[in-house]
Amino acid sequence: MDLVKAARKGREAAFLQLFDEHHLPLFRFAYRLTGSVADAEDIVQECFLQMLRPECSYDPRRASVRTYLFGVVRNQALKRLGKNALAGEYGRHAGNHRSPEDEALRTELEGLVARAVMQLPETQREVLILAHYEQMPLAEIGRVMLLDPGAVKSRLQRARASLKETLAAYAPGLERRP
Amino acid sequence: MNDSELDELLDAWTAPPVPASLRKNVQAGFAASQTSWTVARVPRARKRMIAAAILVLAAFALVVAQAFPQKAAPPLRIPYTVDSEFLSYANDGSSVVEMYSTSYERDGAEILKSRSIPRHPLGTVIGRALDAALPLWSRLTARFTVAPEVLERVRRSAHQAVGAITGCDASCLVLEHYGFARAAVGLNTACIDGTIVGHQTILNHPTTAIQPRMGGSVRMTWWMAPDLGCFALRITTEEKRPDGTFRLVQEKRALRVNLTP
Repeated sequence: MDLVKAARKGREAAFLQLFDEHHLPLFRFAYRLTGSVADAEDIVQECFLQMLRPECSYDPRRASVRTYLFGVVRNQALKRLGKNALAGEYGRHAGNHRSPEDEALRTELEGLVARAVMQLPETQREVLILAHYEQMPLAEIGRVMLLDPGAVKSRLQRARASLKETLAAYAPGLERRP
Repeated sequence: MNDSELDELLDAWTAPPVPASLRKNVQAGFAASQTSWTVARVPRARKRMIAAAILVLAAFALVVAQAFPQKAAPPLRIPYTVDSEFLSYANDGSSVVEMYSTSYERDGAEILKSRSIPRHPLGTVIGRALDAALPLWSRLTARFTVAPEVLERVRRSAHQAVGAITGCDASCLVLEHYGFARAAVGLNTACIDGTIVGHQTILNHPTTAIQPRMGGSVRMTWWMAPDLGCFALRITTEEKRPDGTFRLVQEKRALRVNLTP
């Protein structure tokens, strides 16, 4: 029996296995869409609980559970983004094994990249996050976003071209402009 | 800027670690969902199938009852009935009433008179139909499916045990029963074999709290009233956590004892 069926029948172990297998990329995706740890946490929690509800539309013949869950996270994040301004937490969680100077530069760069990605049009941003950060194939991104792979590819190209322009001054190996 | 330089820059944006609270909250949400969505989760087609099966069962029982008429039994006097509620507990300690029942004790067994499942009228109707049909079905088919000597052995040993309804399954359509061996003579305030863990007066009836030997990761405590024929006025079911402590998952509580004048 697959994990979703077992979870819906009340088997907690199956539900937790489903959670353990998928929550990490879903959390990263939700965080990068919303910019807020708290929102990402709420979205991922809601995403898993939604699978248990009678009205849940998941159909294994139409999409894999991973694709379905990414779609739910996307919809939830869009709802929240419609309601709230961006939380702007980017960079605050940077690692702590660097010197204070490195740390400051790293945090600054991280904030710049995050802002550059967030300034992309919504559909380009989602495609870029899924393709670059989650290494998701274009065909699967198309299923998450209900787009054909050609449209996904062109949006990804436009997103990357735009970012190259925005971040040109910060290309590795270049001196940082003031 | 080439593609690999852009990739390197994009990698500077890292995601924070997942908060530890996420897994706990999701797990708590799962537990809560099991008590609130179970009946609604039954698909409409399956509800129709259940209703059809009950009708067929009832029709069959009627035909067999006509074919094999039973002797009329003398009316049974029930000295008391007990109204009880059945609760299930989520991980965060919150509770939901799953069922209300009215029942009494006879020969060590708890006999259900009626029950209701709050907020789910359909579940109440189906549950009552199953309560009426299943024992009848069992009586009608036992003579064909169980060897006479086995039936006789079951009848003889019935009075050596004390049983009770402890809750219901996820859909609350089927009742859960537990039975334990009667305590040895001389320990009759204990009613069942096990460790006595306390004494308490519930609804003006003295009870003895007993934990029967079960093993595994489940612990039950029965508060039994000897003056009510060893009826359990309270039953708790606890599950062992990984750290060895116990978590309350189910409880049956008597709300009222109705003495027959």
